[in-house]
Amino acid sequence: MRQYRQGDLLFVAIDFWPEDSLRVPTNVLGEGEKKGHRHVLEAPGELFLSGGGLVFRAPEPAVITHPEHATLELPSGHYRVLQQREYRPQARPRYVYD
Amino acid sequence: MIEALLWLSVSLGSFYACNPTPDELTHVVICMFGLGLAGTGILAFAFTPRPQWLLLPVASLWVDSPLTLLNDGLLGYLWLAGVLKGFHLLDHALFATTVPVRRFLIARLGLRRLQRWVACEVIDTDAGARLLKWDFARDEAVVGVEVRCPSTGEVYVLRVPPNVRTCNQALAWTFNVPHYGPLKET
Repeated sequence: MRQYRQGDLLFVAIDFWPEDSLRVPTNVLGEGEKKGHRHVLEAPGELFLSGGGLVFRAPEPAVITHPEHATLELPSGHYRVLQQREYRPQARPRYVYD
Repeated sequence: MIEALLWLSVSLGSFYACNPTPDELTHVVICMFGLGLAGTGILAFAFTPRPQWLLLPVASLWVDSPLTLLNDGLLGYLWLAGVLKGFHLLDHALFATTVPVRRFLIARLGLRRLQRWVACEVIDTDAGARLLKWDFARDEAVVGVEVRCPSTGEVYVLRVPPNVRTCNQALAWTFNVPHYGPLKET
């Protein structure tokens, strides 16, 4: 399971493309909470919603940018985007954002 | 009563500050309340059993006050009240209170501040990350993973379930994956 990380996002390579995926007309992978900084998938790449989360396919090596973090280059392939979270006693985990 | 008068005077003072060209009547009212404020202050300091509490609204205006640093009114007042009363009320609140109140305080504080104020046990270290643990009576332990962002250098602590034992388990839990091992991290 190949993983790449940029700040509060983890990109996990997936072998099979999910059938329930729905195209999202944006290239923003994650919004910032405090400063409004965004993780942006630079072309080429398409973003989809699947199973309550984001997936994207990169036919060629993709580039992900963020104003605070160094640019991340990903090999071509399919990826699931996972947001970092934090434990809360007797409650659902809280998602954390840069 | 004294606190209510003080509050009213301060409110009207704020109103005055927000009105650069008040008419004469407003001037009169403001002067009356200014005198009222001064009188109330003197009376309050003379007759209140704990006059230092009356300084809290003033102290909260100080730019580098704990209130500003904490960015949270309640905790700032607790901290300052602790200092003014001669003991650390926050420690008292964390260790000698009921479980729901403690949980609320810890959630509002965040683990980074908790780490600064309350000693913790380091239960694992791995590739720059540390797993920290705080034990509190009558409640589950607070366990957090401390990591440094490779791009910004910022250190942050994320809370993880109390049964987590290693840094890798903790980071894997924060991303909801069975094992954490990114090939590249920025």
